[in-house]
Amino acid sequence: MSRHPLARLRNQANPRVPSEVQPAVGLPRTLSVILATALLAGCPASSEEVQPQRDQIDFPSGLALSPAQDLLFAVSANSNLRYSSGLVSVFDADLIDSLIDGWLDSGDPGPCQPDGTSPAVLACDESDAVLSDASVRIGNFATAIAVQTLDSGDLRLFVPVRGDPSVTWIDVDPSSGELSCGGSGSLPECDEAHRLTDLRGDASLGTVVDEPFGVFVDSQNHYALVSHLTRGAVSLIDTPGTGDPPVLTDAAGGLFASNGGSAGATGIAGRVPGSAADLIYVTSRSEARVQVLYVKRPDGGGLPFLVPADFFFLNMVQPSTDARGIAFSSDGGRAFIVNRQPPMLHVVDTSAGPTGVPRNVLVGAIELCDQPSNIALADTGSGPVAYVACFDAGQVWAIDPGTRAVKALIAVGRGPHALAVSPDRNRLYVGNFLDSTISVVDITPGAITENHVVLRLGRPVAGGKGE
Amino acid sequence: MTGQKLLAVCAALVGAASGCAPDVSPPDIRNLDRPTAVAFACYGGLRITGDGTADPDDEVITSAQPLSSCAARADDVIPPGQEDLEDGLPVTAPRTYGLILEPTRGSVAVVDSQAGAVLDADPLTPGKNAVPIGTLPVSLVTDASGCYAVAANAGTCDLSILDVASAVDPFATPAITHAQVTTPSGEVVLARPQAMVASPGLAADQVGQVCPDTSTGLLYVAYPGCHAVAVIEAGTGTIVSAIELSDDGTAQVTAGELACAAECGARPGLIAAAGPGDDAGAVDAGAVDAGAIDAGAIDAGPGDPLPPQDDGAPRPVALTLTPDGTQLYIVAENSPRLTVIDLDASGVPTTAAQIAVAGEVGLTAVAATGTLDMGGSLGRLSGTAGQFDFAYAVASDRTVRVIDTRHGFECDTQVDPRFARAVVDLAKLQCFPVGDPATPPRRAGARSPGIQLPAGVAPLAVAFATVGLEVGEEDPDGIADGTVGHFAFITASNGVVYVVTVDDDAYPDQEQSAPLSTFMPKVMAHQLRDFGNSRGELAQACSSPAADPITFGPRLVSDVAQIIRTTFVAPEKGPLLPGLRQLSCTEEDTGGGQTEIPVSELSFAAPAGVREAAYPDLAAVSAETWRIIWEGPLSLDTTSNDVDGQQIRAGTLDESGGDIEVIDNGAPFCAMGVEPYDIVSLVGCNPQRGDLDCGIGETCYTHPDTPAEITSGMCLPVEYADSLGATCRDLLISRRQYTVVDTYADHLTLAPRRRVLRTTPIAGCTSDAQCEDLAVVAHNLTLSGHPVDLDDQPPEEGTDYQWACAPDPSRAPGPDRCQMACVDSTGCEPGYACVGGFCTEGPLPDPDCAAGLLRYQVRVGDAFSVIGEKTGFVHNRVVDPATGQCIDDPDGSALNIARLPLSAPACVGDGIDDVSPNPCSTTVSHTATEQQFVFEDGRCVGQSDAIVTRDVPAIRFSNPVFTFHLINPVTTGDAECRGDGAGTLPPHPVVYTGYQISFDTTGGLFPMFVATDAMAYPLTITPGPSGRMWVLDQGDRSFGVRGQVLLFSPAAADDGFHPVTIR
Repeated sequence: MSRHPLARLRNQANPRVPSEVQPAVGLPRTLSVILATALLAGCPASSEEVQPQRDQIDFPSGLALSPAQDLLFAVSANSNLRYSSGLVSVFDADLIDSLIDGWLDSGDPGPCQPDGTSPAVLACDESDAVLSDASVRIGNFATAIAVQTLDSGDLRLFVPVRGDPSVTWIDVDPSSGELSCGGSGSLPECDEAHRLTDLRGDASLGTVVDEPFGVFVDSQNHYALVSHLTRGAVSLIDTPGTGDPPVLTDAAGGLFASNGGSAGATGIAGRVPGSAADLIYVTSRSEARVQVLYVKRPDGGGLPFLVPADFFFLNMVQPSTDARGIAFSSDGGRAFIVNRQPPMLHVVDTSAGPTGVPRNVLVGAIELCDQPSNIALADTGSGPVAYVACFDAGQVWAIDPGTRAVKALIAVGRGPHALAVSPDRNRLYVGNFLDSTISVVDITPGAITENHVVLRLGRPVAGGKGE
Repeated sequence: MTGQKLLAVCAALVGAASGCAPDVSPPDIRNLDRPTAVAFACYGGLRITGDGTADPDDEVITSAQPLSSCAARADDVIPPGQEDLEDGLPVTAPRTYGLILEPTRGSVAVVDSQAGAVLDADPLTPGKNAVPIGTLPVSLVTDASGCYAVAANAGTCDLSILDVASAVDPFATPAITHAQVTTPSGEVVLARPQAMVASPGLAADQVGQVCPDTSTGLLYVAYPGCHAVAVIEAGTGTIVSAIELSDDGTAQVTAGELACAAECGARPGLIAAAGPGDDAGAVDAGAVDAGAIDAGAIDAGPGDPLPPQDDGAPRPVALTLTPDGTQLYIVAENSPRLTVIDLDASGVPTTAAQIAVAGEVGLTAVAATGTLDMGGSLGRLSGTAGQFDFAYAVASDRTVRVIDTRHGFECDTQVDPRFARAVVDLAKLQCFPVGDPATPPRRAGARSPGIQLPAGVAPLAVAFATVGLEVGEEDPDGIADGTVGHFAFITASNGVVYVVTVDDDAYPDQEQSAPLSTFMPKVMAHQLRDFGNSRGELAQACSSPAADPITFGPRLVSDVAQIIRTTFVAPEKGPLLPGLRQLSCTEEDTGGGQTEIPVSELSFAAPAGVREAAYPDLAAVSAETWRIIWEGPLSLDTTSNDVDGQQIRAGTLDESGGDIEVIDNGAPFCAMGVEPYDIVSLVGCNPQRGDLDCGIGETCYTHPDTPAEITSGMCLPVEYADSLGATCRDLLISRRQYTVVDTYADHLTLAPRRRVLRTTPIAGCTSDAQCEDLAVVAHNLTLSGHPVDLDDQPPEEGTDYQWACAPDPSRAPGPDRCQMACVDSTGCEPGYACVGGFCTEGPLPDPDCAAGLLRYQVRVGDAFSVIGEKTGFVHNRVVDPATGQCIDDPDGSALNIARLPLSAPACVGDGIDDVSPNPCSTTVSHTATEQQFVFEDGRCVGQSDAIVTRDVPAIRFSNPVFTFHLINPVTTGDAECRGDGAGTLPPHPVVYTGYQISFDTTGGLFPMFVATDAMAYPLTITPGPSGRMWVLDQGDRSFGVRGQVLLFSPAAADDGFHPVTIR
């Protein structure tokens, strides 16, 4: 294993377009066709007229909830380059719930209407629940979003943006949902200061590795980690709880062997976030390896850096060479890893063994749908449930990891990828990438609507809102 | 359109444009979709005998019938009344069909097992269609009559009943009805089922009845969320009894008034609000009338039922009936107990008993052997060890637990064969009770008493088969010469079906007296079956046979290699170094005479008794490379394997506690087996790789004063490299190797490691002067000359260091050692630093000199490391949870060692099972080819080499894989000529750091498996009525494959099992 200085991983291409016409691998081939079409059709417009619409979702690629589960942050990737930029929007979860409750309790559709093909689903416009003054513009091809809680209780968002490439950070006022990232105007664009591109703010030390993809934030330990889809690398961001600006401090490359010329890091998650010396697990789309890292802060102060700890292979189900999302049980004793080849949810025992090291052995596997891409875990009172986004099938599978049984196949829309789950509200939010919608699933145990979509935000549009 | 589809379209267009290609293969059609379970149907001609007496006037129809009808015919037995009668209508032999459950599609595919093809349930729709049956069906069984298949639906918490004839008959429309499960008092049960079995079907002598109007018999359905198994009348869905599992894990038979939380939807309101056309389709996905929403929702009683809580009570997930239908076995995914339910003649539970397996595990699958006559070696099914009933349960520790349900205990399948040889009690060899003091020790490294599959893969499911003929049965085909006995077939997460011997009736039942005549893994029950042959073959020559792992027994692939660095020992003096014991082998030479050749005791040519002692456990031997390295690493892993961790790791340095510590938050130290006085080497960076080994903003710095012996640099911040270079000079130019003082899971405390003379007497030095003399001895080892020629030579310039005999705190407590003394570092060898009057392998680093990422390696101190590339570095170190310190596992095996020192306690006994103390010192006969010299006129005159056998001191070393002897761990040196062994020096070692012996092993147990097309995830395995096994592969191993069914014949074990794949 070697560590690659960022300078050696610098993207030499147009910073506003991915270095390779490389489809979002986590957002599968359909996107590649869209991208290719868009690029062949010429350069995207960049004038004010083609600004994204503040209250619409366009190729949602990331969802995250505030810790209080009252704000839902959504990333629009602008993957067909219809608009001049991507977008981060904020939805009011209370407002969404009130729409749902009115619909379920009294049949009142409010400003929405029953879906034409699934009348049990309430179809709403994004504007019915979005905080329209809160949206900000970011770069194109954003992939995910994660939330940090600052010491003050304020929030900070981190968004990997493949088009720049960069990691954009955005401050959030949790009381109003207002976003700020330095821009101005009615729909501000995040400024350069809020785009992490240079190592330690010094371009001579290197720039961010290509294709930032997954993101994991540990609020207590004050760092964020970003995986890189084509370089098998992980970047580390120091995220002070004081609210001081974050700093891109380190990158570890060469973590994964290549497969067909590209070594990719995909899923990334901490085993027990907030614990001292937490271990970070990183999956790969190019081999069966799962890399374990940790973040070390120099005792005398200074910027943190990454330390590769160990690795293991998902080789008990073969070939398992295309892993994606990863999530941990609350005690860190189980890791749930989504793999595409074969489509399988690996249940890995990550509890500490008699030697003190996580066992990291497969204890179960559940066959999945084609092209699974992402996972979210929740326990709403009936035990943990794993929700897996099935991009090709347009479904989310709900899985009981204890019995290894599929509890439900939830039809959500086309190209589901982004997931956010609110155990408090008994809601699963699903970003349908190809529909440019967000489906809200009721996950209330025992409810008649359990594991059914009860509300959809946005009008399903093939090929993005601009089509 | 996916890229793959796009490519396919393009390829098609190109193909079309280029004209017809007659030899193009049609695309592989995939008809199945993630199959998980199978039920069977027997369908064909049936004479309706009514009263059981066949009459030529009886009606003959085409009908579903009991599975026993097909099973009997598979054994060439025609059920009574179904024979062709004179003047009667002929009865077309029924065929066996597989009903394949596809849960995510909610359907049942029908497979004609004879044709090996999927049938089309809807000829009017393109493709081969399956029968929609329900929402998320989890299990499918055939009822007692054979006329109905019943599915338990997890999506709707109900049952679907499929008319078998309507599914199999190509001209019929599949007929399906649904039934709610209700308690005796009529309450609907909305718990989600997980598994189901049905009461046994009608016997062959009951074949001849018209199909009943509804399904018959009893269903046993496991409800994990309800912590219960319900016994349900198949015809009505009414629970007649139940087995309820309590919080304390116990089981009770109850009347069946289950109070299960609703898991299939019960909050009313939405339907009314949503109006017509509600979103049932969201879940149904094409299933028939699944009613995900209306499944009893309105009738379910009060709204907002309590959600099911995981209250710790067992969650039953699998169950099976014994073949005779008298007992039901239940396992739970969160409990180590097997629940055994006695059933009355009608299948209703009467009593419950439980047997706990060892450890805090859950059980996820179970299968029953039925009553077996164990023992016997006649080549016919027979028994000499009594009757046993076994349950095989898949456990969460990736083992298959074997439970003797007749006698009520778990069997230890991991008994170390070296301790089982003396067991003559045949009953014990069928099942060593776990916890019985008389049960021999378990294999070192075994996870539990259960059967472990190769490479740590996870077992998924088990089924049993009996192969062979009964005693007295005719054997026209000579099959009794082949595989005979009872066998388990275990599907595994790596897509393989492994074979386990439950009872081999063609192999001796106990150890035979002649060495290598029997292998205990083949004698003992419940062992992975060996695919190899001629394991007991004895050598006919002194050379090694080909490195074929499945032919002949455990052995070396080739000679033992000794890798000698001439900077430490001249090649001519290699015999002074320790080696592995050799024995004399005699073979016929080309001239017809006898030639004596030294061979390793681990080789194929070693005498049978020696080989048997060297490899006491066939199952422990792998095809792998072993390295025995003095002060070697604790791992041989590369970047592409993870047996026991990386050789070079990354950490940081810390001095906050006053000590210098290597910190690794990955907590690897106990896992790697570190002990005090081991060596930590700060590897630094390789300047030839530029700065790639360093962190951001760091450079790989090499101090200009660095001696040639030191080839690595250290990573320093670019902006401070020059200033730190000066500050850290002593560190930078040293070897940077330290002694481990304290061992914790996440850190090691370091101390300077002194430079010790390698020829220090093993019993300790006596004076500085002795050390000075021995320093000359050490130096002369590097020279090829005879002692008589070297004695008077003065030390070379620059090698006349000062040596002192003193205690050495940097090594394990022991006698005084010869140490390089100094006043300052100029008095030390290059690469060493003077600390406290002694030369050390490096000063303790100032943390400023190693502030960032630190690459380090841990090596064994004062011993050989014995590592197999697959077996790894075996040890007994664990973490003390209270302190975080690494300690020895008090329950660890004496065989779990990978350290081989040069001195050890005396051996006690030399039997195959004498493993303590280990290692131990002894004397053995050793044969070697030696240089011969004659001392004449003050000179050593060379003679012909000779093969000499002599008794030599040795250290006996045993690990789980082998036992060998390290000979000549120390020497008294030569007197006049090389090899005369007449030196009078105190016994001293000549080994040096990095001295290596290596060899390759092969010929260990090669697990038998069913050779098939690649499977991805064979979730279940089920014996079919015709004797074939049905393996349901749920996985998608490659694009376009959505699972498959594998059929194979256990009876064809000697002929590749005749596998057939259906997709």
